[in-house]
Amino acid sequence: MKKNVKLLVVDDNTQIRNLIRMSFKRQLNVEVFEAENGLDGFKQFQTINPDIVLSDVMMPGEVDGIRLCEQIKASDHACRVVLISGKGQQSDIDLGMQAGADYYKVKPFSPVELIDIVERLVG
Amino acid sequence: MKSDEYVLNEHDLIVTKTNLNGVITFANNDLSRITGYSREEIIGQQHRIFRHPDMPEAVYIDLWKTILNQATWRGIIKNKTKDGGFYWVSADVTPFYENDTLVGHMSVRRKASIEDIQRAQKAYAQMKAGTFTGQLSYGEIQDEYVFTTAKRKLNNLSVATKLGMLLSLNILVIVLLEVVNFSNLNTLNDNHLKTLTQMQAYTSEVNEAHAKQILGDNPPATIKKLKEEVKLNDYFYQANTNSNQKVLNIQHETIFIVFTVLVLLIVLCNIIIRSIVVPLKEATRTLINISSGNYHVPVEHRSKSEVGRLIEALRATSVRLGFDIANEKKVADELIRLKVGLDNLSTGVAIADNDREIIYINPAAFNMFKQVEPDLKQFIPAFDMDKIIGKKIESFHRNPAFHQELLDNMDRPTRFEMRVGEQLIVVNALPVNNALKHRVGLVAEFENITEREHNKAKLLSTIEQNQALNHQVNQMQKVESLSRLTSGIAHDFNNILSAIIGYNQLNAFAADDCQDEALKEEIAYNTNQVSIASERAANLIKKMMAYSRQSASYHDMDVKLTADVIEEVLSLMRPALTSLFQLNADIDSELTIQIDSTSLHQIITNLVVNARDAMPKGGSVMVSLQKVTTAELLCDDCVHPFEGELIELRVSDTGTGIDQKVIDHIFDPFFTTKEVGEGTGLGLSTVSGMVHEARGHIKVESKTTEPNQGTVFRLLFPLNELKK
Repeated sequence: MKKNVKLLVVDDNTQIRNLIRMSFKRQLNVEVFEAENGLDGFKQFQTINPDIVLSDVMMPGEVDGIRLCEQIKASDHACRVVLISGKGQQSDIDLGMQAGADYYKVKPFSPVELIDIVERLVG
Repeated sequence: MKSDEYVLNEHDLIVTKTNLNGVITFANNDLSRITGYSREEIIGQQHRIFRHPDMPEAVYIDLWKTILNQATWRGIIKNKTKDGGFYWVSADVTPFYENDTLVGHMSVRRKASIEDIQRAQKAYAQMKAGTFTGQLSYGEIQDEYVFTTAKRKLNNLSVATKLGMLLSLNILVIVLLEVVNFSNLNTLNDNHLKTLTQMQAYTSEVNEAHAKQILGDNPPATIKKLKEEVKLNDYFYQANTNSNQKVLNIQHETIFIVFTVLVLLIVLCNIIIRSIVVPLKEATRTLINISSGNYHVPVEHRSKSEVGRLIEALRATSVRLGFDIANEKKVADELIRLKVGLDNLSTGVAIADNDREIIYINPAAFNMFKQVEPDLKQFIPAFDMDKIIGKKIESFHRNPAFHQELLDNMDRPTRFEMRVGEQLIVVNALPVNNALKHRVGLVAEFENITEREHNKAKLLSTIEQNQALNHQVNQMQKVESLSRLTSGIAHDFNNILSAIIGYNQLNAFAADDCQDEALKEEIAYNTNQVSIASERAANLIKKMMAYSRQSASYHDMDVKLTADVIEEVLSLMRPALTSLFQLNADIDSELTIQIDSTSLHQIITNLVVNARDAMPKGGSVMVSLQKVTTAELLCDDCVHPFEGELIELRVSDTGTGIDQKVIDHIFDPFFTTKEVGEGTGLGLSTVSGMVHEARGHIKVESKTTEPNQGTVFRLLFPLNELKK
């Protein structure tokens, strides 16, 4: 990754958040921020102004991944959004794409895949 | 306890039959109604259950004495009812014969007259108190009055004796009449006396006149003498007259006595004649009563004379006839009820006698056969429903002799079906036996089941359709619930797998920095193993998703030719089969199934591996791809119907086959016949999921009964005309 990237991870699962953070440990120019639900994720998005957001789709609270994606895309069209979900049906994928997501990754994923996706979107 | 009297009315008639031990074997309705005992309670009991405490033992002793003499007992009895009430009856107990043998007694009880009751009440009270001076004989209370005793004694004399008596009395009368005639001679004598008296009077007068004449001439002495003579004459005359008078008086008395005796004798004769004639009249009256159907009119006269016995016999006859006729009437009533019942039955019934002659056919059976008469006439031209009564059953069969033998040997209910024209008739024939187990006839029940069978068939097909529909709904529900389960599990699994795969990869990255080459290699090997396992887990989830048709991955169509894919799979499979197996293919390379090559790959692999596993001792597996045309079939998994021109991918083996029970479950996810750990149980469910994804259906045919016929999996896909 050539330029400095601010990456926001939104996931209620701490293990997954840590996995993503550690996946980018070796990418020295990637700064990882974490939020554990949609609401917190949007607040952080507003203060941090990240280049890319990796968000889980199914999360507790009023704001799930789809809503978060819509809100982000409504306020800053330039910010890239990757939705990561265990739901892999075509209808789910369509829903994510309609919300404006730049990529829809069906779980399971591997760190290599994630790095590859982020590099392609903001690299 | 009630002490109410039940007063019988004129029509009440209690009839019971007892055997020689006094056990009641028959009782009529009136007895049950009046006593309050049910017939079941009465039968088998002795008459003493009706005995009232007011009845003296002597009455029953007399009753038994009488009936043991095989004579009729007739008396007044006070009986008690079940609830403690009582009723008075005039009872007749007569012997009851069957084939000249005394088998028991019959008791007929009717309303007793008030006079009889009062007389009996008084006599029985006296008997109880020991002050009874009369006699009880054959049920009759006899007071010790001279007249009645004499009358009874006279009545009991035989007719011969009575006739003898009459004869002697007649002789006596004749004799007496002679005596009267003798008295008439005396009257002549009397006249003679009168003449004599007149003569004496005349003599006296003459004497006196003579004396007057003499007195004029004769001295007084002579006159005196004469006067004395006259006086003497007078005296004699007087004496003569007196004695004559006396004789007359005696004669008159004698005549009076003789007349009186005559009158008495005539009265006596009359009494004797009456004692013969009255019973005869009574007998005549009894006979007239019998002939006019009055079987229970009481008979007044009783005696031990021949006529008395005749009346007794007539009375026994009358009672017996009355009972038999009432019984016959009852039987006739029952028969009429039965006939009315049979006539109105909706089931057909026909009855034949033991000579197989039809004696009865009810309207239902009549109509049933009348309806098919034209059809029957084709086989039996003589068949005429209107002349059915009196015909032999076998005459309606094509082989009468055979049928007659069949009917004669029928000893148990027999059921058979008869198809006449369009109609299907069920016949239940049964032999009718009497109490002695002798066959007396045949009864047949007919039921036209045409419509019922038709409805049954309709119902069955409806049920089948419903079952198919139910199966389909169940299948859909199963798929739906499994889909939900799968997506739930898949989501969590994918999260977990993400962590496993991710951290494992991080480990691998971390190991890259390791300076120790040996350790680095070991970690690389280990992380690789975790990676392989994780991939397998991920694949399993994918299969599950494929089964529940939730995966988008199979939508992409492949451009590879189906024939090529099959060839590819088979060439890959061959090394996996030992020399015990033959793998043959018959592929129509013109055909293309619209399915992605990965799925097709998986499908064929699965089916061939299953076929191999079904033949542990080896065999052959055949894979074919053909165009077929099929009539409507139901998919063995989704139960949807399909038909027409289709592409058939067929995998058959020569193994042991699959039991139908197993076939019903082979497409269920996680169902496996393999040992735990050998199979996932997802093979066939995945196959089915992929086949259905490609709009195909599955038929499984298996023959467990015939060896080496094995199992055939037929995968039928729609014909892809566009691509062709």
